[in-house]
Amino acid sequence: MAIEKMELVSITAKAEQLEGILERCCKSGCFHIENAVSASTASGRRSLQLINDKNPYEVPLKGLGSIATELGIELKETTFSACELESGADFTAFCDDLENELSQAAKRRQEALKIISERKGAIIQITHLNGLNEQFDKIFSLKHVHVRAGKLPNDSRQKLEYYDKDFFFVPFEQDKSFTWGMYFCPHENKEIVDNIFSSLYFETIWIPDFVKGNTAEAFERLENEIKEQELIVRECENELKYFADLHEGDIQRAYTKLVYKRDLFRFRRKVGILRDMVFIKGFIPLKQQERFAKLFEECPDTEVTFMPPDADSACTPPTVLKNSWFSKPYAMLVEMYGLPDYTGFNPTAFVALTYTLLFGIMFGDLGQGFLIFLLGLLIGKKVHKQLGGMMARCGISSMIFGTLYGSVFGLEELLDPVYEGIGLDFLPLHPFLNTSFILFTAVGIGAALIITSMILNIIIGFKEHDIERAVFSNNGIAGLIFYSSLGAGAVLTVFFDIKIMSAPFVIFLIVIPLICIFCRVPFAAAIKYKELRLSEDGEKMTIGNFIVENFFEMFEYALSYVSNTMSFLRVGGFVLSHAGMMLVVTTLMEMVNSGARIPVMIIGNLFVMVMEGMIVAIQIIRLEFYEMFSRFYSGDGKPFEPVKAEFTTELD
Amino acid sequence: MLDSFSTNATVAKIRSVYGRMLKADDYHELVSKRNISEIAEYLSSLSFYGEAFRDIDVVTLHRGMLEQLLMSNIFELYIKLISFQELNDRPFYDFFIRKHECRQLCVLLNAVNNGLNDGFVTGLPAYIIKHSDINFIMLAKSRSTEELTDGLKGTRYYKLFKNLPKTEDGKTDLTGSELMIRTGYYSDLINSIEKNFSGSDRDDLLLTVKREVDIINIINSYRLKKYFGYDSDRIRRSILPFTQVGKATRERVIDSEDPDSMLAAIRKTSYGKLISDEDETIESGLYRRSVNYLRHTISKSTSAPVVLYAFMNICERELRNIICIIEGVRYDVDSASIYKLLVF
Repeated sequence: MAIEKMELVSITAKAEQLEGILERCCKSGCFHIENAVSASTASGRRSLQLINDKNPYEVPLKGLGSIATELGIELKETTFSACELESGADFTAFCDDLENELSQAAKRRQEALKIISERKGAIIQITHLNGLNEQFDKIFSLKHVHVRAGKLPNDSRQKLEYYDKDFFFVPFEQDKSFTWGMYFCPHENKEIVDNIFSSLYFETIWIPDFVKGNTAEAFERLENEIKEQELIVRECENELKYFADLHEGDIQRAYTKLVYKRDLFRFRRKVGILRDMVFIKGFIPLKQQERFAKLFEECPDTEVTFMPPDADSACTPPTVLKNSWFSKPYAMLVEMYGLPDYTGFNPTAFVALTYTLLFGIMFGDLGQGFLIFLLGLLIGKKVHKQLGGMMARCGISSMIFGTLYGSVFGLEELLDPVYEGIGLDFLPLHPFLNTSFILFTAVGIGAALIITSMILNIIIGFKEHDIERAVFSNNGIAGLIFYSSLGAGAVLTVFFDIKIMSAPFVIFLIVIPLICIFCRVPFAAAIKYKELRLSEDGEKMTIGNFIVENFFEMFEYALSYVSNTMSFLRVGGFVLSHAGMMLVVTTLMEMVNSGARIPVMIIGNLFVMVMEGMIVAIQIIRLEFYEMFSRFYSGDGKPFEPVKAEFTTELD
Repeated sequence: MLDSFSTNATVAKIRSVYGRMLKADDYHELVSKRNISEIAEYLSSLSFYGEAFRDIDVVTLHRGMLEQLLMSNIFELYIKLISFQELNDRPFYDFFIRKHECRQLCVLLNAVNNGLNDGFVTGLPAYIIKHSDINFIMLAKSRSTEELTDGLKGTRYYKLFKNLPKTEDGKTDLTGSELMIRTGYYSDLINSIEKNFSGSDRDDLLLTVKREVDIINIINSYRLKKYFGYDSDRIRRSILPFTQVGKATRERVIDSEDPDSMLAAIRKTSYGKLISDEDETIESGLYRRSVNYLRHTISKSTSAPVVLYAFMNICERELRNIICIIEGVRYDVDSASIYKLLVF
């Protein structure tokens, strides 16, 4: 239940071996690559440069992808050991051969599609000129007037008023960026006006020769032509299917290999090069060191060096959480908040325990808990392992607390005889009969969890040699003493009438910790630097500023102690709300006739399970993140992402 | 204090936008693109620029239009930021509009005196037409400095243009006029800061503006010394009359006898620390320093005017980087050389 130990790996090799080395890194499945040259030094001020070659596999990959689409082949990942193609040029040649071999049908189909596309394009263009009711061919063949149709950026349109040349622009349609229209000018001014419009980024729409008549006639003619060409396309597709059956195996293998090569080449962007030597840097889990080293044993002129993870200050080691079987699924929540940094504290076990406990308390129902448990098992197997695991654990917790509350699918009296039989008269704990007890217990649980969070913060603070955090902060020893003394004092005085708040108690356990929190920065500086400073980073701060700033911070801390504790009232609130909602369901059951009771019960239970289950799950995440994590945890770690080639049919 | 709290939302908004700006990896990708369309396509996939490219066909996009589009994106962002908490009605916050007005007035003055009015209109950004009180389209019809000055009647620039310097033969002294317009801009800006802000807001703003001026002055002084052989007096007359680094240091730089000793003097100032021997020009090192200052200001300051001013400068720097990439790609410069020229 800690963080996996890492090792910094540095690989130096001849440039021509780079591909083989990257392949081995991918094969290892445990190599997290880092930039060999950090971004701040990558602007050429050092001689070691990052490789920035063009990926030679991108173009053939696009080509092969479009051939497969053309042939209707559904691309799937397959083994490619039988594929002998290696370089980008090999793959390009393979694509060219395929294209050449494509039967006449493909060409005819292409031509037909091209015509369809042109006709459709013409329809779009003519749509923009919808305001024109004249014959296109007549307009464009005017003897003395020069005409251009096209689109003008709206920004440029405002500038037309500047020019007092002999032209006019007729707008037909306008969208957010462009105005479509035509400009007219005398033939003798053609060049000047064309220049003006070209400098204003006017894009000419070339109305194809095949467009005749006015807009309405042109539309009809174009649509008929599209229909004719679509018939030709269908004929050709049948012929192409035969060609696809013949070549599918080769294409699938080549495509999978090409994706692999393309992905492998992408990692070159992180590789440093100096003359003919390449330099790769990254992290592996310490336990994989031996296996990783073995992969490079047979590589001549390749040097693999293992170093401690903090050997290079430019690289932060990534974090891999090590969790027990119980806490493993809850890593999802920790990752959602942010991983701990490499030297930090793994809070997954804490989250697992508190989440499961709080879910059980807030959603205690033996029957519904059992259903959540079953659903969790199913989801874990079929959909999402971690989510399923969490649901199964929460389901069991819900069953345990449901047994304590005596609630089975909302039937609150079902377990009474069982407890009576055993002789436990204080159970079941009917929520509506023990409202105050439940609410006070919820606040008590909250206070205990906040104190636990503070203790964790103190331990982490000492581990990181951060005296301010461990001793003087609002979540350090000073905060802990202040919070627990005040809490204990209030509880003992109000509920047990024990007059504990004596002057020494107040001075030593409340006032002195408060002063420590107020002066945490100078006190910590006094211990750390043996001098009194008002600010940690040496910035100038007057005593007045210090007092004002810390006064407001103290105010905020005091508020947060109260609000965070009270926030746990919702735990008790949800116990009552669950019981309340199920009471509504049972009341509805009693209102309907006996035949409808079972359906009402099932629908009611499902409704409560889905709605309240989700709300409870979200509320606990809130409690974890805001009330607890904020006291001891900062998720600024980096995820461990081993290099790998992933098959995909989506192209960038 | 309450005033500063009331603009905290603007600071938060600026920081969230700032987080979406180009990173080293993005620049790495951009310099490896083969043509303008690829650059435009990449930028359109980023959330910071995505909106600007909506409805635009990146395949047919012209280089000039791309640059106008990007600048327009920054300008519209600025308008959004100052409108967010209705800061646009307050003094100072129109600084970006004023800066671009002055820039366009300098271009127009040159164009009018060289008969290049048409070229001015072509390059006139649409956002200036939209947001400026000056009708630049009508002004562009001026055929002389006098006509231009008359056209500016009723604007804040009229008085300035009435007093533009002349050469011995009675023509407009274009270099002197440009300096006067820029001095006028910074003078108004500094006055506005001193009048409308107090405490750390005022100090931080003045610091940021004067640092900007210092860097402009250092670069200009060095260029004038190295490429035009200007003496100290001519340099002194050709720079902006404001400084943060202190008059003594500024004078030390200006009074240098030759470019090498001037470079040595610049290196000794707080701005010269990032000038590297490997840089081909001193600009890269100075701009790098300037960007560091601005980034520091954005992350540390909680004052909306300070953060906004620094952020708009960073935006302009990013635009210059993109234009540098566009030009490099357009003229087939290798990606490593383009990368070296970027400042971020």
